[in-house]
Amino acid sequence: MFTFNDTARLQESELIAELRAGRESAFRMLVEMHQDKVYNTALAIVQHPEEAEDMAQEVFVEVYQTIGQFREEARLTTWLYRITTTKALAHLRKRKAQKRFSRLTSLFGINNEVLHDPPDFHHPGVALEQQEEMSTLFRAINRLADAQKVAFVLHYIEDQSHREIAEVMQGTVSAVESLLHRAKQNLRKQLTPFYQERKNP
Amino acid sequence: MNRNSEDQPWEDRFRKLKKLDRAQPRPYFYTRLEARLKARIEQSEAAAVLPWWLQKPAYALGTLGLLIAMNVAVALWQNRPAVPETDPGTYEAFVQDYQLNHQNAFVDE
Repeated sequence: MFTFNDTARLQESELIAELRAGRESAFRMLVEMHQDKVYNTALAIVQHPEEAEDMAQEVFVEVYQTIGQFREEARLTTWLYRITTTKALAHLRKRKAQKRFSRLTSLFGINNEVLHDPPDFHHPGVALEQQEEMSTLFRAINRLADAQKVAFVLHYIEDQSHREIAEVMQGTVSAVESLLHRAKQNLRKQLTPFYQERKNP
Repeated sequence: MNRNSEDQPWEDRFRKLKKLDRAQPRPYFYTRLEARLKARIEQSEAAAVLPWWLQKPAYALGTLGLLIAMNVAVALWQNRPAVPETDPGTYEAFVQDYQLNHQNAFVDE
């Protein structure tokens, strides 16, 4: 007897076969099914709506171009999360390098325009009364090391289990647990003054 | 205070992230994606026509620079001023060959 997961997997392999055959309707279905996951993951990492949308589009372009290389060892969702997190982290590194370069050129007077950090990120799904707290939390998440950031975002925003995160990051469950533990410790360190101030204004 | 009661408030704070409303990309996401994909396909088709060394702007500019430099070099070489050669049958050539000067040549006369 088929379980729900087996049925989902069967549908997924049909979808992959259709994608490989170059069916436009299959690609549209894939985008409609997964754009929310891809966009929200990218948004939590790059913390900029336009850049997150650009990332999401690039993810689907890559899927379209490389679906032939996809080995069905992993689930499609796992593969999508892997492409999204890799692209988002690469984007952050590029942004950091551009900022460093603009600072350097401004020192030599070549280009006086210094790139600044983007303003505080306000997630569109945050209620008004939580905006300050969530904005502080997202700023702290942004300061985490890359691997910790990915593990934390996938667990607390995308609600992925430790095993699923391990598959996305191509590591072990214990490595993910360790990453999450360190991420939480770092966030606690960063956020303690904020919550203390809130308690005793 | 034990460790669990210390951890719990933090866990609650982090779990608030799970309750956020999902963000949505701007409307017509798929239409924009389709346009991007089409442009990317056209770009890769155009690139397939060109040789590999012209697909990268740095190589293309380098090749162009090299061609210009070679043309300039050939043009300069072609238009160099001709060195006047002395006719071996003349008096001047005879003096030059035997390293004589006009004063010495007629000193014994």
